[in-house]
Amino acid sequence: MTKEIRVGISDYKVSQAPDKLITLGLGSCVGIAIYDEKTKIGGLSHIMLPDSTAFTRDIKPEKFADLAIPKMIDEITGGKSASKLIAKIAGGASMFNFSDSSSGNSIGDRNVVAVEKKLKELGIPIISSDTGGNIGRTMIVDLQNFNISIRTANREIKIL
Amino acid sequence: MLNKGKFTDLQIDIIKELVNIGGGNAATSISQLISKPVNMTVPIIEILDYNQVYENIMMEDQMVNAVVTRMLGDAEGIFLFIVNDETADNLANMMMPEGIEQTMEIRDSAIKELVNTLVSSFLNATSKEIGRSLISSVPLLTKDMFGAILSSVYIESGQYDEDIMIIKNEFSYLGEKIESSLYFVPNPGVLEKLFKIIGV
Repeated sequence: MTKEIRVGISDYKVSQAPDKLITLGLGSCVGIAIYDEKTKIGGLSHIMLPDSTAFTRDIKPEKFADLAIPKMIDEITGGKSASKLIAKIAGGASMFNFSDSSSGNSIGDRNVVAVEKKLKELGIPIISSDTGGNIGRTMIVDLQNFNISIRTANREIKIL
Repeated sequence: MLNKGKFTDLQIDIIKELVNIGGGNAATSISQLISKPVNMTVPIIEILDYNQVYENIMMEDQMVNAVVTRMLGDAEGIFLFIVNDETADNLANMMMPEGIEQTMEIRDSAIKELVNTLVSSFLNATSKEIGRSLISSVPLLTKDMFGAILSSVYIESGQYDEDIMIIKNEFSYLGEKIESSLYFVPNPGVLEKLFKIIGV
C-alpha cells in the first residue's frame, strides 16, 4: 500500500518506497528531499530558517537547515556512513518584493544558500532544484524512483 | 491558554480593543466605498502553531488573493488581506459603477484600492487612539498558496517562532460573512513597545 505522508512546516519525515512524501505551500521555506537509491529510503524536510546558531532558546532542530539535514540523514541511513545519497531541493522564494527592503538577501535566498552549503559539506550532490522566484511551491516526492513533482500557483507541474 | 504567558490578559484586551477600533473604522470606510452597510465581526486574537492555522483556518495549498501592506511610522508591521476569487469578484463589482465590464486588471486594482482604504482607515483610528503616527505603504497583490504567503509574511517580518500570533478581522455584509480576513503581523518588539506607550 502506498502511503502519502504529509510533512508540516519545521518538520521532516523519512519513509521507504512505495510511499510518497508531500509538503504543501513552500514560500521562503525550502523543501529538501534526500534519497538512498539502493534502499529506496528517503526523507523530506521543510525548513524555515537557515541557521540555528543565532538562537539560544527553544531550538527545534527540524526548523533549521544546519540541524535538520544531518538529523534526517541519520534516520535515512540508520547511521551507516557508507550510504550513497542524492538530494533535490525546491522553494526559497521571495513572496513579496518590497522595494525598500533593507536587509539585503531575502530569507528565501539565505535558506537556499544554507541548504546548498550544508549538503556540500556532507558530500551529498544536488541533482536538481527549483528555487527562488516569487512563487509558492508544493513538493511531492515519489520514493519509488525519486521523481519529484513541483506544483505551483499557476497549476504548472514540473518534474524534478 | 491564549497568550502562553507571553502577554497579560490586560495586554491581550488592549490589543483586542485597538483592533476593534481600527476594524470598526475600516468597516465604515468600506461601507462608503461599496455603498452598502458593512460590519465587522469580533476580532480574533489567538496564538497558534502553523499546523493549527492550516487545520483550523485554511489549508496551506488553498489558492488565495493576498494583498500585503506595510505599517510604517512609530511602529512597524504588515497587514495581510486574504480573499478568495469569488469574493474578490463580488467586492470589485460592488465598487464599480454599473455597466463597466470587469477584467482581471480592473478587479485586482479594485481589491488593492479596497485594502488601501481598509488599512489606512484602520491606522487612522488606532493612531488617534494611541497618539502616535502610523501610516501604510502601497499595497502589493499576489495570488498564491495560503501557506506560502502566510509563512513568508511572518518569517520576513522577523517572526521566527512556530507559534504565531493571529490577529484577524472579518467583515460581514447584510448579516452574511464576507469571506475575507485581514491579518496584522507586528514586527518583533512592536507590541511590547505599544504596551509601553499605553502604559500597561
